[in-house]
Amino acid sequence: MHTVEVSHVAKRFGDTQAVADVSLELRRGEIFGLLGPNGAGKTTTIRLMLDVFRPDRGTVSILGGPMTEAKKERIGYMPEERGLYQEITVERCLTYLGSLKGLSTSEARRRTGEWLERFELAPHRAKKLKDLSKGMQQKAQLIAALLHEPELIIIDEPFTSLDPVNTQMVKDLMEELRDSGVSILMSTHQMHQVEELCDRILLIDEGRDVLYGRLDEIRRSYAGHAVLVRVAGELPALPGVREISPHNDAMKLSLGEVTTPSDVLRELMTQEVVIEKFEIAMPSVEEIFIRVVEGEAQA
Amino acid sequence: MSKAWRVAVHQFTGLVLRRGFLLSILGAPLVLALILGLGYLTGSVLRTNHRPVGYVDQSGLLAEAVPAPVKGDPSKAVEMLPYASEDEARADLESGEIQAYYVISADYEETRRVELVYEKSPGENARREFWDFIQINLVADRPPEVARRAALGSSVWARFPDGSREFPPSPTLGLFFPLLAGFAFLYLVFSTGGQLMGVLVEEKENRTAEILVTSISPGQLMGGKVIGVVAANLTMLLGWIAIGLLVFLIGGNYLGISWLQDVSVDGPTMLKLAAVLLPEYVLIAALMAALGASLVDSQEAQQVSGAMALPAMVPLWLAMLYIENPDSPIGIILTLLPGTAPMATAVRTSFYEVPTWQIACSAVIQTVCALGALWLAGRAFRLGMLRYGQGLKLREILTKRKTLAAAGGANE
Repeated sequence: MHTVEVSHVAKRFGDTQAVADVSLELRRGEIFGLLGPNGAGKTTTIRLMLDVFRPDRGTVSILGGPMTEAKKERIGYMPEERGLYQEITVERCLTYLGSLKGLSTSEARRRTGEWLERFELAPHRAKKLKDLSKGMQQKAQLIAALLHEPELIIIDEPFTSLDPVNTQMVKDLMEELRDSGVSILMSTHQMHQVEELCDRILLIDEGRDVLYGRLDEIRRSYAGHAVLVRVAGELPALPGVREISPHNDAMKLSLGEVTTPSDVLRELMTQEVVIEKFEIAMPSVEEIFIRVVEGEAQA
Repeated sequence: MSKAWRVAVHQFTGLVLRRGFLLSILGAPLVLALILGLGYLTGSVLRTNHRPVGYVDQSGLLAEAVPAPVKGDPSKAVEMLPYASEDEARADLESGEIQAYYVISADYEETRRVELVYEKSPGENARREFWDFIQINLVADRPPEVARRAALGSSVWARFPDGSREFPPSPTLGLFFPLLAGFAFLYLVFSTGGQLMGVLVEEKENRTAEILVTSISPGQLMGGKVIGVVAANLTMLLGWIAIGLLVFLIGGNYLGISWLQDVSVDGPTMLKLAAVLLPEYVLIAALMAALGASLVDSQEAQQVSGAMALPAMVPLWLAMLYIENPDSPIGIILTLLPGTAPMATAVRTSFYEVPTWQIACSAVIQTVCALGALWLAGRAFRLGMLRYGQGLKLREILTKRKTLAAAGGANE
């Protein structure tokens, strides 16, 4: 049984087909990336999962079946539309939201205190939310999603407004949660974060899933016929290489049709070149995203 | 603790702990008490002077003067001092022995001419008591009971032929309880409705709604909010009642304000009023909640909230058209119509017995409308709370397909 199973859901709003056909499975203890251009149907898919909307077609199983009131306490959600009560203190707001997730008021207050410490917000606990910076509000929003120790976390753009230090802290936290068995569904446009964090992804466009699976497999399947090489000194001339171009700290070697990466490596070793880096050139998620979405658009 | 209860507690404490709440509790009664107090002070204290008043009787009317019956506290009665001449009276006036003196002209019987001489305007109590003194002496040749009755002046009791209602010469506050209850109800219901609407609009504005609907069912959420807001407003009402009782206690017992002394409540009349007010309360609160879920921002909510109060005021504006006639069609229609029913019922029951069938019909109409409004509020909440920056139209609420389209389309 997977944490979430979405099977061929569709949702139409008037003349707009927000979701046409989306399926996904979110497994226990994984970080799953839900990707797609603006208006692709990501938010609607999440809302269908959370039973905010009922699908016109298809089924959603969450934590082993349909959504119930009790299951809401096992889910943490940070929506795209950020929102906390602005006129009350950070501590009161989080304690209240925690209590709505089934915690007793005293437990919610205790955990709020712990999370505020961890997120370095403790000195601001008595401040009104409207008096916090955007980054601090974002951290408070994250705490609201995590306070009740959910089994499933659905989080939309978790890194918006965070500085690099806090971004790293949130990434570490997400990995820690994954390692403890929590399932995390993350929707984001920050592709480098997807590369770093996600085990599997679903790319949807115009309400349909267009790319789904393990991230490394997807990247491999989109890998071009090229290798990345960095050597000590100058790169010698190599047979079977069509084109050489700089790529970050290395050179990207585009290979001829009959040349394999092994041929190139063998040739470099034959020439006794000191190899500092040699890897199959994998496309970034961003490149795949653009290729898929633009390809869809052209099709 | 159920989640609805937690929402209620959060809502209640959020409202009650605001500085404005304490001001609301104390503000309205304090202003009222201030007005009453100032009225009492200027009417009774500042214009009261208990020093003696002199008179120079040139007509012989008061040769064998009969004292006027004392109406209030005998120790505060103004003494009437006779003077043989104006010079003596003037001397005492200048020395401060008396506050003023009257000169009753020799031809008083024909002209009724009396002069009042003073350095500083005498107290109204002194003037009143002097005229009572003159009055009793004018009828001194009549039998004593007639003279006494004449000195007491007119005393008109208005009674319904069936004896169901009577109004004493000096109406007391108890008689106007239905009207006061009507005003208190209006304030309470619009305060409750306005706060409920404000809370919902605020949650739309600050985007908390989506977190809430994934934590708690809409029914629990709305139920908790209604309980919390109603409890906060009832707390305010209790505060007012406590302050009111204090005012009655002090005003009626210690300051001797007569119209604050009878605060008896006519139970059946108040029950009739409650039969209309309670469903109307639910109706207006539910409509406000529906608007809160449908509107875009708090500014718009305030404007709509103000407009919602207008129908409630119509019975006051039209009161002269039906207040004298229990069978007035306008009065009956206003009693039955949702929105106008509370104030029309309150005004009419203050002055006459409203037939039970009218109250029953009105209560049924208000109840049916309240149930409809609750249904509307539920739909509006479910469809409108996730719709940011765009209002929800009544047609959309009533038409399922279009409504759902609008609800999601705004965010996708």
